Amino acid sequence: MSDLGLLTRSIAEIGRLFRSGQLSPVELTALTLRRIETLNPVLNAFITVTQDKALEAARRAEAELRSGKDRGPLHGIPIALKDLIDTAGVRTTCASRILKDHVPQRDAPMVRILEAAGAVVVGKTNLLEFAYGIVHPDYGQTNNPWDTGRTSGGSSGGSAAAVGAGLCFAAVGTDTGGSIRIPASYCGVAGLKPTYGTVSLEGVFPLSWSLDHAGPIARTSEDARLLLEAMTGKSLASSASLQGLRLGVIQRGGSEVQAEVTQVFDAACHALEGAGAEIQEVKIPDLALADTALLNVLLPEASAVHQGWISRRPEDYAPFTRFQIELGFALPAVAHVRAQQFRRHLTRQFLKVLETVDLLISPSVAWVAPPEDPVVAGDEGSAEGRRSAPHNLTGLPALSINAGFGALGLPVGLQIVGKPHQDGFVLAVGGALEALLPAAQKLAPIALT
Amino acid sequence: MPEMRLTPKLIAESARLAGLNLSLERAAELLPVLEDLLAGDAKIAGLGLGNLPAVGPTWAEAEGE
Repeated sequence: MSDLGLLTRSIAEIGRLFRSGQLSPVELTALTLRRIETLNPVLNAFITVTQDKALEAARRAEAELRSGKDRGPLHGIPIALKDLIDTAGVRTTCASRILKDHVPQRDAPMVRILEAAGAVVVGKTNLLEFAYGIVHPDYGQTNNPWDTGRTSGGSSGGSAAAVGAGLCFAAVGTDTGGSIRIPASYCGVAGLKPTYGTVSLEGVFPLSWSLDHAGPIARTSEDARLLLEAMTGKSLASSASLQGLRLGVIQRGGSEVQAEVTQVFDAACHALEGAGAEIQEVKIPDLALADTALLNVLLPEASAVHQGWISRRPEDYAPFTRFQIELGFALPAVAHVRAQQFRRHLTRQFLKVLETVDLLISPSVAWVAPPEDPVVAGDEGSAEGRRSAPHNLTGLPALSINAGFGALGLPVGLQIVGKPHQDGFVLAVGGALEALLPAAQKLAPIALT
Repeated sequence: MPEMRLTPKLIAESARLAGLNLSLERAAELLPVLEDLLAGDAKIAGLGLGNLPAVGPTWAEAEGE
């Protein structure tokens, strides 16, 4: 196994190498840091690399594993955190000029939990400014591992690119309208927005309190499960058979959907049927109103978060971030409340359909990675999030896995949606589908060169 | 729903009441997007959601049905 090959192995495989003494956490972390040094100038996936802390954590993990103290699957595994998650003594910028020098005094509880699980944090990943839909020019775009002339997606693009390029084994992202699943789709990796409330958001800079979720991004659903288990301290083990599984298809089509996305999605559906799954198209009443509802919830909440800075330092925001924050101040409060009511209405519609099928599937995004990210509060932004955002409104667990590749060889994601708290089942089905589609599980060439 | 007649002045005034001073030029830039959002809100209002809760877990009341 080459050094580069090690960096794209599964977490379980690395764990076996650690425990058999064939590989040490220090060796792996040093190798990971060298790869970051090589590829980050191209990808711009990391804002801060925590080399010294990572090596210290790796040395600790190595000593513990040698002495028989085993903290579990993430022990000694290099991971990354989106740079809006508080890390004590390590700057947490939110990819903004406003917080460029912000150094939290305390770790977010999630970070403490991950470090207690033995994870080795190698750095803080790039994102759209405050996770709000646009790149800040001070930080620049995270480039896609499959085509560095394209975006990795937003807002957790740094986390997805780092995972896809083999710069860490898993990463934490956040998702308010698709910010885990959109970059996962663009980068050909697995990304789960868990059931709302599954992961504590204390110490995570908010975009929209009632829509924000934190979750795992990894190269496989199984690795995503291991990270989420470490983040929550709960077992998510679940079995799934595709034989007889009832899958409802939603949002397959639409004028915005690229033909290559439909082709990959349909091919995955055919493969699922071949494996014994029962697939039927289903309709969610009033789903078309989700675009508006998302913005009418998100915009005022985000504007409240930024009220102090937008008045005092408007020029420090990227132009479209500023535009979106200003927009939230002009929206009537009753529109926000009605959108919150609509979320309960929409959830009822989803749960009624989920009484007739086991899971829902759709393309994750209507298109493959574009050159740049669209603005959230615009037609393209709404279209980009049309298949992900409904599940932020409902809070249902939603996973994007890679289902294949489009005409230019760019990844195409497939989204799997379950009932509340079925995160483990959703991940298990994701794993079964990944096994069914082995050609879709190849790595970005940059990860192997 | 009454017909919406948004103007930059009205948008700037709404933002000011919410705590943000906006120039009329910046308010004018918001107008087309805000019109779309309010049109969508009018459709949501048309659903007649009555006393459906606006807070709490989104599925709690649905599970209890």
